[in-house]
Amino acid sequence: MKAIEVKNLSFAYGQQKVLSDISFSIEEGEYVAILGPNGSGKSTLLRLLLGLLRPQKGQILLFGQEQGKFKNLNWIGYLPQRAVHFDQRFPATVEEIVGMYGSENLTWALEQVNLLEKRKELIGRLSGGQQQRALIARALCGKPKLLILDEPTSGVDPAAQEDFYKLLAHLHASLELSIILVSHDLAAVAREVERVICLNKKLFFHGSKEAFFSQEEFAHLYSYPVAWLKHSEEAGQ
Amino acid sequence: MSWLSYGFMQRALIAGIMVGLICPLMGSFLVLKNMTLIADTLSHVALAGVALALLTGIYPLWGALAATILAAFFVEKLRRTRGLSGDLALGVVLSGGLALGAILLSLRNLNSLDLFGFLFGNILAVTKLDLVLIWILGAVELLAIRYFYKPLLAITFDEEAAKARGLPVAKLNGMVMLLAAFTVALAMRMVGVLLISSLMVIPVAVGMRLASSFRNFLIIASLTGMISVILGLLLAAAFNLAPGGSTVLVSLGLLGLSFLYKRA
Repeated sequence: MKAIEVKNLSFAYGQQKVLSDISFSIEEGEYVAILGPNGSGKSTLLRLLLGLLRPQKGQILLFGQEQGKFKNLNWIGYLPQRAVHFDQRFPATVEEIVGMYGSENLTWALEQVNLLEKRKELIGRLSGGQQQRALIARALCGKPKLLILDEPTSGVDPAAQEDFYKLLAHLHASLELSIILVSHDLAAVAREVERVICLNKKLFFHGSKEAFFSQEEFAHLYSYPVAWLKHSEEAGQ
Repeated sequence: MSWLSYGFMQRALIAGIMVGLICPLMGSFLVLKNMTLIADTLSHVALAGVALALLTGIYPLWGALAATILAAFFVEKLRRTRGLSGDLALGVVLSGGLALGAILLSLRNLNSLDLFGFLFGNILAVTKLDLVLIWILGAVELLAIRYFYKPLLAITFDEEAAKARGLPVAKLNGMVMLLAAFTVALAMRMVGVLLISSLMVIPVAVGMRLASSFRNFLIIASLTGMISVILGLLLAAAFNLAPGGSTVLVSLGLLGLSFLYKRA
């Protein structure tokens, strides 16, 4: 079954076209990256997928149902950018944040992200990487089928980024979660995901990551030379 | 302490318990949503509502309630539909409310003692009807917060994620504004329009310093508010002070103590 199906989607803010005639689909269980330079329409596409904006033209289907009529919103876990989404002095514990939409699966969700022992701590006292894991746990509480992550590791230190991507890979494999990752981190994308959707107001590319990183056009898209470097162990094989 | 036997003092203290409880409770959500200015705005508009009520012979609390509710929805509409930032929308309504209040009060020719009471609070002003309304509307607020506790936490923490999760964010924000309007109208006669916002903010600061959870934060803020109002009223009665001023000074004292207790 398709987790997401986007058909001929267009959107504009006033006269300014942001997305034009976009079509693609994502199967259940796929790990997909959405790439594109700043202003390419990535965030607008996410907001449309999440129902925060209404399509002006075209259609979005979530698990076969039209976005506006889709009722199982707990199937979709959303992780906003860390840097902008909350005040670090917010006086709530990890378990209060994780269980704010329902606490039926709270302990299980905290175990999945390895934060069970931090459940009584204030969310602002956690490191950036731990906060993102807590928000993943919040999404997991709803037993989601799809995770949508908007630049989840911006402002997170490199070691924590590594741990975070390992966690996503684990959840993808063990829970068969579909994941949509919006990121500027091309190295992580090259390493982690299965397919790439690249936007620049139009659908610039949609296919395997290998095909994407072997194209010369994507270097022009980012306005500087980019190459996909294989890990040494892969290169040596 | 013989003034404790006076009916007006007993009414003020009983009303003060509820006012001290609900002001910081609503203030907690407003502060965390970066909407602190809402209390100031609504209280200035409440002044216009009271002035209009005095001119037309309506009971002042009804005038204040009507004006604050209208202002709350107008601010929320400006914020959502006109693309104004929260602070800008509030600034516009605050200025309009104060200007209208000043003009209406000048038409009524209030004596300076009455005007001082509206601005900084008046213990004598709490009537039996005020007391009943404060407790009924206060109880409605407490029940609403209890019932919508998790959705309110969710929209306060991250409005966009809450909307993506299907929560009726616009309706919940409307409810927060309505409850804030109730709070301001109810607290106005006791602490005065110029000091209501202090009672909605300073106890919240105490709560944020000392809390170990969100539930705990709301309890600490509310207790600080209640202690501030009760001690403030007793000081006001004992030394013939403006109750709004004494209440806010007590809450500042409690904030100072929180700094001594927990340096961070």
